[in-house]
Amino acid sequence: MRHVIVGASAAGLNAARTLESLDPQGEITILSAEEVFPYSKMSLPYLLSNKVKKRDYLFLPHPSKAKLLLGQRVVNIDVERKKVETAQNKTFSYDKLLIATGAEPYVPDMELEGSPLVLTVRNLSDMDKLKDKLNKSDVKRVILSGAGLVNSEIADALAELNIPGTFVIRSSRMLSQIVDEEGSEIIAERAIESGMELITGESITKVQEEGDHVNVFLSSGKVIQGSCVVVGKGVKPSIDFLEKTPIKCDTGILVNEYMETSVKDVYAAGDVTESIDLISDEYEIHALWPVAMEQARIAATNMAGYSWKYPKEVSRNIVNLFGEVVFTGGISKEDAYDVYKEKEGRSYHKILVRDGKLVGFIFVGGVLNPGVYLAAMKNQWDISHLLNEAIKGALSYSMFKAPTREVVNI
Amino acid sequence: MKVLMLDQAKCTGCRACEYACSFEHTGKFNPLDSRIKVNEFWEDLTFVPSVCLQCERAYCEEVCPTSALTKNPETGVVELNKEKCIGCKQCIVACPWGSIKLDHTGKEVIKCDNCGGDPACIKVCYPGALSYEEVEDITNVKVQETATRLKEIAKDLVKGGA
Ligand SMILES: Cc1cc2nc3c(=O)[nH]c(=O)nc-3n(C[C@H](O)[C@H](O)[C@H](O)COP(=O)(O)OP(=O)(O)OC[C@H]3O[C@@H](n4cnc5c(N)ncnc54)[C@H](O)[C@@H]3O)c2cc1C
Ligand code: SF4
Repeated sequence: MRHVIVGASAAGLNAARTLESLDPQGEITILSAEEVFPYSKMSLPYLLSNKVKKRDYLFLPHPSKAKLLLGQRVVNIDVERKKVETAQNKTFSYDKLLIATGAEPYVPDMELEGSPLVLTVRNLSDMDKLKDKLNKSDVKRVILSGAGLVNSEIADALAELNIPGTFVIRSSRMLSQIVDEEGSEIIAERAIESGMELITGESITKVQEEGDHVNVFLSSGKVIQGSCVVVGKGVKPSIDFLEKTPIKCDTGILVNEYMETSVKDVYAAGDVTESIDLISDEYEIHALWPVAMEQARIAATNMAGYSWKYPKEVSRNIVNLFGEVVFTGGISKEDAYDVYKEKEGRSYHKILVRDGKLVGFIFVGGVLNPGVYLAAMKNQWDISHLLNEAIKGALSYSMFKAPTREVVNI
Repeated sequence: MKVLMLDQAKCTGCRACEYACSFEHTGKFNPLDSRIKVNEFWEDLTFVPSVCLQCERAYCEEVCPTSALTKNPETGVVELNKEKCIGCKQCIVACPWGSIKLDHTGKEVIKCDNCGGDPACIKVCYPGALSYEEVEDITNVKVQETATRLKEIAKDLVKGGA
């Protein structure tokens, strides 16, 4: 069996690893548009803060048998003849194909595009550019356009380095996609204490380069200075090359429960996909590292000839921000169903419960077993008798599987 | 290869293992820093110790972005390399059993390492709920136990039929 994988990142490489073990006779080819050896994108903020102690640690494990071809950008797929074509004028035939091309930063403000001092952070080269900028510029402050997950992580890294930052946020608060107002408030307080500045309800209208820094014009007319602008306004799946194919896409590639696309023998996994969300029961983009890993494992298993169903996905995030662990999942940015909240100083817990089952949560600090919360939500275990433990952040696995001696003895 | 063996039926819920584990790894007696946890079910007066299963293809290992977690093929232990760990905590969300977890500060990642081959927990488990045994021996014991149980069932069936 010839397996071709497009994209060599979290999803592509985990699929290769799975295929290597499930289809040892198979021929696996991985095509990567990037020239550098695959690395972990989610570790980039940690590279900035020097938590990645050696640059080598960033690189993902080598596939053992798969052939990895760097600098091959796929430009079209001929699904009839089962061939992929690259911009480097090569074609590769497949029996089973996996699209794992991930996502690219979304830059909504057209006027910001193109300036060498307006950066996004997705690739290693982006991070190198940012580091270089910080080293060279006499102005240290970084202007962060948007306060989503990635920019918040960048800000956290800047705080570690004692570099000031200014968030320019169009909405009224930080992390509005994953936490509610109360959560945002605590995180913002911590951000400010860590040397960040927050400008809300404003957007950037113009960026003007001056020497080695930038003057940033805001919608209110205010002008601020920084070493560069980092735009973090979410991502969009990399699907442009599918235009001429019948593979069904909305914002991302729509996959079924086997991670197969609308075209037979073509699978997709990771940030490039849209899959059904367990809580909303609708197609959603779950652009997350662990989701990419899981989807790739299942897609590859099915490419190897099995029929594994992918459990519906739930969104979740765990992130270190300004000295606190922030853990969210499911419906978290708003209140819905039965809402339980506990706020004590700087710690904030919220759980949302629907028919006795967990459908959302926020923990700013104070959760012992985050994995159990995710498992409880994914499996929709009944927590109606455990609400007290749940809101305290104290759920543990065995609370759900209360064994009796008889059961254990079998 | 040796593995930590749990015999839940023998656990009295004394939690000495938790203290021993914490002390071995941190020099302090804090159950929140213990890699092993005794779950208490007071309704049934049942106590169930739980500890990392050192999974064959572990979710924590799969998800770790820096390969700080790897399975040691010789000892079978999923090892945490602190030097490589960036503290992103993907691993603790990935483990549905909560076996790789946060310490008492809620910030550091901790997991069972079999104390490098000499587990502290088993030394204080006087009822013998915890032991450290060769995989082959355990398999044999389990085969024997299951066979014995099946034999009893078979005997009952024969009696019932007669
Ligand atoms: C700075 C940063 C911080 C993050 N933090 C977190 C976090 O804390 N938690 C979390 O869960 N997630 C986080 N993420 C997201 C996480 O990194 C992604 O979910 C994950 O990388 C997705 O993996 P993927 O394999 O689907 O796609 P990607 O990692 O995007 O990789 C896709 C690869 O395909 C290549 N490619 C694209 N098009 C083509 C083509 N036509 N031909 C050939 N190759 C192509 C790309 O060059 C790229 O190398 C973060 C991401 C970034 C950038
Ligand atoms: S916290 Fe450390 S061990 Fe766990 S996934 Fe992150 S880097 Fe790996």
